[in-house]
Amino acid sequence: MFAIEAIKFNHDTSAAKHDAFNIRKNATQFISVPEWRRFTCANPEDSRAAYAIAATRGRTITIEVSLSSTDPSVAIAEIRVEHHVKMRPVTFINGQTGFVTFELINPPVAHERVGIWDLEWHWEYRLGPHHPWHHLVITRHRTYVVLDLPTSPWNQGPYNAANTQLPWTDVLDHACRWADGATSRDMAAALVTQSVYALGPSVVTYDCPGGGSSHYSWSNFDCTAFIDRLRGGIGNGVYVNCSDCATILSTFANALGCDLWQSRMGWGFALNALLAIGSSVWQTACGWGSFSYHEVAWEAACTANDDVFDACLEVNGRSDPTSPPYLPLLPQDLRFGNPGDLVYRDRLATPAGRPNCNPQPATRQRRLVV
Amino acid sequence: MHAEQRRFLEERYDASAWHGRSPRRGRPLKGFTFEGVEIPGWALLRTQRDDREEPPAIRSIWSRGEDRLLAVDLFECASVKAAHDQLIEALGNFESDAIERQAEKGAPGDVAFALGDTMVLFARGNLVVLIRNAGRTAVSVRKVARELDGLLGERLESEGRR
Repeated sequence: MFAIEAIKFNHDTSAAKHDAFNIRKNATQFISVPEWRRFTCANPEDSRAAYAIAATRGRTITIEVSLSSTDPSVAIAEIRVEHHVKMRPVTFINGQTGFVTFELINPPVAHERVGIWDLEWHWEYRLGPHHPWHHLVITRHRTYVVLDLPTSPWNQGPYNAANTQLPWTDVLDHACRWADGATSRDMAAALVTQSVYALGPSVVTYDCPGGGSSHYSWSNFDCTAFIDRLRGGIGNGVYVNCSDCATILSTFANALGCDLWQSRMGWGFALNALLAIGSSVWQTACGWGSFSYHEVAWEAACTANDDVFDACLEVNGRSDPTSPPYLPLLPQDLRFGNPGDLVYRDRLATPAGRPNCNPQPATRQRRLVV
Repeated sequence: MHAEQRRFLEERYDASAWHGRSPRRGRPLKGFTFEGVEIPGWALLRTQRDDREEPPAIRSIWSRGEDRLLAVDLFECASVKAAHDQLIEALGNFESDAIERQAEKGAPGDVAFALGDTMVLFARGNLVVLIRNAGRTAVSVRKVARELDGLLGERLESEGRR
């Protein structure tokens, strides 16, 4: 006799303090509100919503639900999802409630860690406080939880189908799994760094045949092709370079609320032996001996005092990074440093190369996703 | 491109010896598309023209056999000088310091750069072509570069006669 017609998770597209934030599926597919609709949504992936921990902390999360009734004798009913949606009465006028606000009980975002939750809500109704509860319907939803609202290149407005820089759920599908359980920006960025580096050699590998050229990040980030690659497609091929890795890392991490840049160092510097993504051989990047430039995901002003995340290569983590033995160290939240500091710069470049391996903060950017 | 990186690349690749120089003085070729017949023995899997890029780019992926893939990108620049600027821009996206100019007879284009025989970057007239491996089995791209360069040369000549 009752039915749920639609559910809005992102019911206020101008804010994300009490509800989900603005998202789209990918470059071509928009996610409109209401996210769940009767007759069209069956599986969790048919109804997606994303929440930001920092933006919603300490606030009540609400959804808006539209119900209908085929029984003209019923004017009021109580509705709930035990343990998930707080009970409230609704009033039917001409068999419709219009959109009414419900409070969520302990929603996934309240757990305050990054993740993806597939929810199955068993809706119930009763005709009054002293009546028994009856089954109404089951709805299924996919909820993404990120640390804070996504940062550039992602944005929150304008909220329309033409804005391709709204956060993509195709990106959140991977980023939230890679950083599952993260409770801080540095932790999330580190987990994404590890996950991107671990894509080698099965998904991507360093571009030795092509001279370490950019296959996914010249000049925008061809995120559509990269996601195709993650799903087993051809994408733009198997090869990546440092700019690709820096762009993938920072763009996926920033979708979780991190605040990383893509920035270069240079120009023309000799290398210590390293383990490039997809390689199991310690050598100076395909045996070239030197880099024309290198690019990483970088924090803040992208200077020598700021920390880097490098998903493209592992450096030698021993006290003398210039010679064997080797101890693989994936640079995560590692200060770039000055020559002699024995941090990122010293581990990447030889003593002779270090003076030419300088931060180039003027190259700092966040490539658009396409 | 960052000015300091451009200066580094101009010096590293001796740009003063080739920038802006071309034996050809004709109309620029515009509106190029890959039809799938341009590279014999290779199948065109995907091509996309992006006129929003500056210069406009035609990107393509070609396959031969199970794991041989080529990424062939072509940039339509406004002039020879702009094409050579685009060459420098392209060189700025190679992390390797081992790319070298190909000045010998038989090298493709008016100006060419390569890494061994598995990557070629060249300019022919107002066009810039980048041919790279995209599959796990790396193949020589020299023959492909020669064939594509020959085709572009013919079309540029034809454009020049119009």
